[in-house]
Amino acid sequence: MNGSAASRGNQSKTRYGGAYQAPPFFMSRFFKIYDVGYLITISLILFISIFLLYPVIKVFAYPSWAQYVNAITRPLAVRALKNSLFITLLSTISSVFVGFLFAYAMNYTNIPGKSFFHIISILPLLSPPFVVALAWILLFGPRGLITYNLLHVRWNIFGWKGLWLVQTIAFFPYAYLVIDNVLSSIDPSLEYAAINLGGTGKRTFLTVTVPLALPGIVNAALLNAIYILADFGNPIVIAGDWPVLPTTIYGLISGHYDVFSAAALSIVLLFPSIAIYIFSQLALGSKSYVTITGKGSALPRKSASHTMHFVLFVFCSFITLIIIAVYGILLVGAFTETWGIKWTLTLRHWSALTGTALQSLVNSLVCAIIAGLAAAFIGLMGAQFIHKRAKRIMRLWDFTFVLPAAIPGIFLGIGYLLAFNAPPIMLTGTLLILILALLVWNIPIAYQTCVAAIKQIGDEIPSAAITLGASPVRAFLSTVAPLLRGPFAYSFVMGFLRAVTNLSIVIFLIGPGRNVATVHIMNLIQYAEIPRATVLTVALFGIAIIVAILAQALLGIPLFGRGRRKESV
Amino acid sequence: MSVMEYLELRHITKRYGKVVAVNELSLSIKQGTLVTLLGPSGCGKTTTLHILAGFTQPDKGEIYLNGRLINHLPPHRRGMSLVFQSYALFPHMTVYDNIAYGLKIRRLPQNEIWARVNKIMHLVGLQGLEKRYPHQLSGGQQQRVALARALVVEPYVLLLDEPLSNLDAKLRIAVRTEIRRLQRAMNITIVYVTHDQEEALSISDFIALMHQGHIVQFGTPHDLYCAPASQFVADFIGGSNFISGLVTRCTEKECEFSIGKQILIGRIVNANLCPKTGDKVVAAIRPEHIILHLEPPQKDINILEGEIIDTAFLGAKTRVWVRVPDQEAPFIVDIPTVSTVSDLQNKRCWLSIHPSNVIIVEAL
Repeated sequence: MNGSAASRGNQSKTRYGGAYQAPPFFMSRFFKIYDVGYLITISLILFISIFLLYPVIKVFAYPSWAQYVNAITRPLAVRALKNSLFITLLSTISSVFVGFLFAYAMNYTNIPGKSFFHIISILPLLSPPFVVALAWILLFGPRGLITYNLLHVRWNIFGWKGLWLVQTIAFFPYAYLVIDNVLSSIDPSLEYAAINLGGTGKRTFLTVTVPLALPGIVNAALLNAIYILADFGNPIVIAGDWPVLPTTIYGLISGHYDVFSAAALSIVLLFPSIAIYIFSQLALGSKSYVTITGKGSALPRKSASHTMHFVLFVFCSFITLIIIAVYGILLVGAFTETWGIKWTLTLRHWSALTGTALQSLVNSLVCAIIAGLAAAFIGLMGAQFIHKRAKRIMRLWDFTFVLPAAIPGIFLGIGYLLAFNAPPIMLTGTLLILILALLVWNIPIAYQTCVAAIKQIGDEIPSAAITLGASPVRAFLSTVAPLLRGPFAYSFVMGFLRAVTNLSIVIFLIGPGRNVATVHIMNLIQYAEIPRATVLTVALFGIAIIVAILAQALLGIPLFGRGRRKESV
Repeated sequence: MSVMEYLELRHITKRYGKVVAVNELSLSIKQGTLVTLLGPSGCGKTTTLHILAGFTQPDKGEIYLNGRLINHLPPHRRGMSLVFQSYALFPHMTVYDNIAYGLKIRRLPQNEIWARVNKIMHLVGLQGLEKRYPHQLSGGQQQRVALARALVVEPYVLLLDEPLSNLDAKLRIAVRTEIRRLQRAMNITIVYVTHDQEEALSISDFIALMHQGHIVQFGTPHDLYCAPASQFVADFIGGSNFISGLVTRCTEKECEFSIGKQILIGRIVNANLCPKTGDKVVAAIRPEHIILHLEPPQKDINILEGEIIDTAFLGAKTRVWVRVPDQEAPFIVDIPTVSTVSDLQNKRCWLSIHPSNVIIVEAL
């Protein structure tokens, strides 16, 4: 008794003059509940747990061990896995090669038409994944313009060679943008220094430019590998009976209703994707040699040789020509009476743009706009309230915000199919499930964009607001939030485009009367309704471009110009 | 318990892992004074400032403002404005909106905001720039907007974190005079962080010189310069020659020590040092306190004989390096530049130093 009285006396003494003591833990918790930032953090964690982690766990928990072993030892599955890895390797190398040459031409030459090449090269980013494949069929298919009408051969491009060509064209723009960013950040004075020390043009290229750009090139390759591994739209249209994992998984569900095997195989698809992603983060996170100082170098970049100019000009023209052919042929196809037989112009096919087709187009737009906005908003909130607190256990949540970038669309689609088709959360057949899936899938790009922007704004600006008397949340809303307008718009447009063109997730989640355009188009292609598919594709593509241009005009921020990164906060 | 000053830090300690950034730091600041935290980078001065502002929680120790414990107050309730090194102006707001920010947060009526912003803009000389954005201003103007924004809310304490480091040399002197003028006119309490000793000497009422998380000396600029308490202080502020010898005779205030055959008399300012006969002592001598003779002087106390090994012309003064036997480092002597240049190289010379300018800084 005596002892406790003494210690109490001590405590009351310290309270009014001695050492400062933190309030008891329940007090601090109590106050934290009324802290808005704390509430937002908890909400974000709840959201990501329910709508990302829960579906992912559901897929893992669904097949039993026996079903798992059975599914992956099946000859078809083994073949699909081998094919997937093979085509991923092939298409990644070719797309990065094309992307590098394009980026090199943009940065190291002054060939005519550079901005034209740039605009054309990013068209594939704005269109559904199977557009290139569809155009390829119109050109080289059984009734293709070139194969049937011009060459009169019975050869067609279905199979892995066609897929390789199509994926190269469809995915090189991703590599181009990443490598372009890296090359343009290389300080020209380094190359001048090499030449000044006696290096020749070729030697400088090999010993300075390439090593400096290498982290960017490797990063582009890893990102492209993830995209190509998960690519569903191109192989379903053009690979024919050459199976890859995503198409095999889809076949198991749509043909055999074998959800167990599909889930098992999608886990097989997930692992290489996650492995590549983690490798890219670990290996390259700290290895960027390019320093971004914000100060542009005054020196003009050293140009490549005349021969290189010529070679690169021919190369860029050739690639650009292919892309123009792809979109041109679609446009022509949408107005042609009967492809390959009767070449008169008609508006007949546009009558297809009614009823269910029109409804699917509207659904696509509604879902993509909501998902894009919500993903940008959640990415922004995550950047402020998750990334900034990412210490110890919070690092795990930080990782979950970038995790969807490594999840193949097919996997996420199956996850949502399994997680939300029964209570407690019953969403199957609603537009909401489409929106949520597309939203979660697009969080990483918004999250990373906003994290980078918030880093650039720095801590001092909101801290200055706080010392002037603003609460932390008010400081964020009045100083940081307005400065994030550009990154927010970029996140929205990217999220919208990815959502409106997505096929691999939504294909599992559409319900009666809740179809979306991409799935509708795919069905039309499978029923060989090529003209109607073309019409719907052109309409979808047109709307995507209009929304992107509108967003750009409304916000006054160039999203796809080559000068975007130079904009400073 | 003693009477509390306006702002008091008591036994503040902050660790980052194994590194002790601030160690048992105590400091009292009177209302209306400008106190500088001065020290080399990594000495804990910015951490101390952030602890004051509330951005960093100390592991131990208390902060009192006006007799009130404020440890638990979040930064936005402390009433201490912080001016950042980068100014941290809001790039999306005009000069007017930047300055009015803190007043709007306080929900003052529109006309009062207008009046106070105008008054402060006039005071710092920003009239006519209300509608400009920060990127349209020069560095000096940006600095003044940051100051005005912090001052207009009439903070209990104004915290300045290396506010002049982004300005060029001439502007730096103009702005620091300006800060001093404003501080006196408005009777503001300022805690000022800098690593530039000249800036600290010129602007402060008091300087707290910090080293490795401790305050090594607290006093007026004059105290720190003329009566440095340790070798570190004497070296960091102004720079000094250090000379070590053996004590031959010592009183409370004075110390006689020998270097080779020479005898020097020095002053003891740090009461903690009580050298005894036979101890080794280190004394600090400012370069400008040494008189250089080219012929042997009449006096025979505090004279060192040496040889000139190098000279450098610095404009108003000429710096001379003198090698003195038994001393490792050559002596640095600053002499007024004279118009008749003579070649001093390799000449014999004699240095005389007044005993009050020989400060005992270390006793071992």
